[in-house]
Amino acid sequence: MAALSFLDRQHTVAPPGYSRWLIPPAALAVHLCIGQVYATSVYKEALREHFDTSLTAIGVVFSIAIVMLGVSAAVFGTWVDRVGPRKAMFTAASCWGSGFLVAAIGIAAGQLWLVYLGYGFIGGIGLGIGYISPVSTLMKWFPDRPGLATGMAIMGFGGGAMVAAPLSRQLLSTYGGGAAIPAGDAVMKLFLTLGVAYFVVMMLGVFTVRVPAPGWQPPHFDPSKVKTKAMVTTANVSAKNAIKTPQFWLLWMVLLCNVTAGIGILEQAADMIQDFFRAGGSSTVTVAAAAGFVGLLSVANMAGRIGWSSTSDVLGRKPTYMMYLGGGMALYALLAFMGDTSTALFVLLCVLIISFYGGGFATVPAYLRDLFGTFQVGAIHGRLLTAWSTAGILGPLIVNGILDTQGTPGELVAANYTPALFTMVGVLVIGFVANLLIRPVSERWHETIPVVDAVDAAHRIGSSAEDRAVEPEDIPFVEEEHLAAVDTRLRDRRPS
Amino acid sequence: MAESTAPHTPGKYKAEITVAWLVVGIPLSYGVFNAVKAALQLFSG
Repeated sequence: MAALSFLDRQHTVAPPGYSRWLIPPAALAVHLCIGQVYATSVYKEALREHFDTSLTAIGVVFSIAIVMLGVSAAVFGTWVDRVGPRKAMFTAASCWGSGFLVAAIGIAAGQLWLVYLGYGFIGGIGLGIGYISPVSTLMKWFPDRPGLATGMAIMGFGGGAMVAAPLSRQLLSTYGGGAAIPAGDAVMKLFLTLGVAYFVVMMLGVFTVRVPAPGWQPPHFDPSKVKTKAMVTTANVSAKNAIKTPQFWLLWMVLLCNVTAGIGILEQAADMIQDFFRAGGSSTVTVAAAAGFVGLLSVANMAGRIGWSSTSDVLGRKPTYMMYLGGGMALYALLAFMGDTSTALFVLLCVLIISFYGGGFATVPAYLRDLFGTFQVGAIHGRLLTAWSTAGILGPLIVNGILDTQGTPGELVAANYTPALFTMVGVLVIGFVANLLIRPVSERWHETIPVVDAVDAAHRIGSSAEDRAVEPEDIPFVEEEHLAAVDTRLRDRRPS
Repeated sequence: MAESTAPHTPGKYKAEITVAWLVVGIPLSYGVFNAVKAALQLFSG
């Protein structure tokens, strides 16, 4: 469609002198919006009352969204890498925004299935595409600091809930006349407001994002320094081949274990702090303080994403994950042995664990880039995120399943958490070993021809001898309408 | 062919950079402020 041609990758090449510091806010614009998915608890009770159903039925909305996040990131990852960040972010904005609107119709009509379809299914597709859309572009702009770059974007996802929660409470109070449990009408208006607002903010990202010009490098960047690191490749591996390597599945296991361990605390945070400091049947930690603890954990989650991921540029990805997983093991053990000796110690241990949880999400794209190159890192990242979806199901199942055997919610004490905490230690041991086993990817998986996209191909053809050897059908990402032009130019230069 | 050594022009996009970071920084600051405000209840409540 000609009207939407501005979304095409070749129209998003940065002009000379374009500042790479415009790219992180473009990515943040998307991630801050889609991060709202972790603020759904604000209106859960209101929806439950409106639809006269159970919390479990309402919880399915969130579950569908998270499952669709993983599925769409995996399914559309290659497409995202091919079409470029602008078209991908536009698609994400359209799905995320329209998902809210469809869900609002469902609330107005009293049809819960429409909420499942809107927020869950359509919104979930927006989540998945939006999550991975800026990642590979960021790493191309920041080849010297990929951990910092992806940390800035994925910090936005953690921050999204921090923005959405108080904003949603304020809007619900306004729309609902200050009622303790807002009516369905108020939630419908909230969804309409969020849908429009998020679409507009994400479109700012759409218009700001650019891909670097072919061959662009940041000032003072010395690629030869990258080549000397054993665990950082200068080759490229396609997504199709990456999933055949043991490294992908080891990293998948690393992410699964790190996320599962973090969810172990996040799911139970408010109850856990009250249970750990319970004496004589009542907790010394108030409900307000428990809510404050949850707020502190959200700050730790966000700080870990930017802090630890940036640190990984210095430490290296493998040592950083040794810290997340090995350090996490020690922290969980300390929590089990002495977490109930003081509130300050308990809080400190949990803050560190959750900072590693956030850091694990933000550092993994840079780890993928180190192992597989930047060629299809977005697509590989999308496939890897199925580990997150799996952990999202496994983590709560494990923790809730163990806690259910320990006693009645509201009557548990610190000792009742010991089996769950040591189970998390076991999970982290598995992840730690998986990380230790990661080695550089075998050369047999490396792409053997220069990998270029349509933009690079249009700029590089005829510029060097190696380009003349590249057949048109071997150039990935070339759009059909350009293929004929590429073919002609190559044919003219092919040795007879 | 596009030069790989495009001139680095610090300051050329200063206004755009400022606006872009304000657009995301203001809501982010709002979120962090509210989270920290809630977290303080842990130490006072």
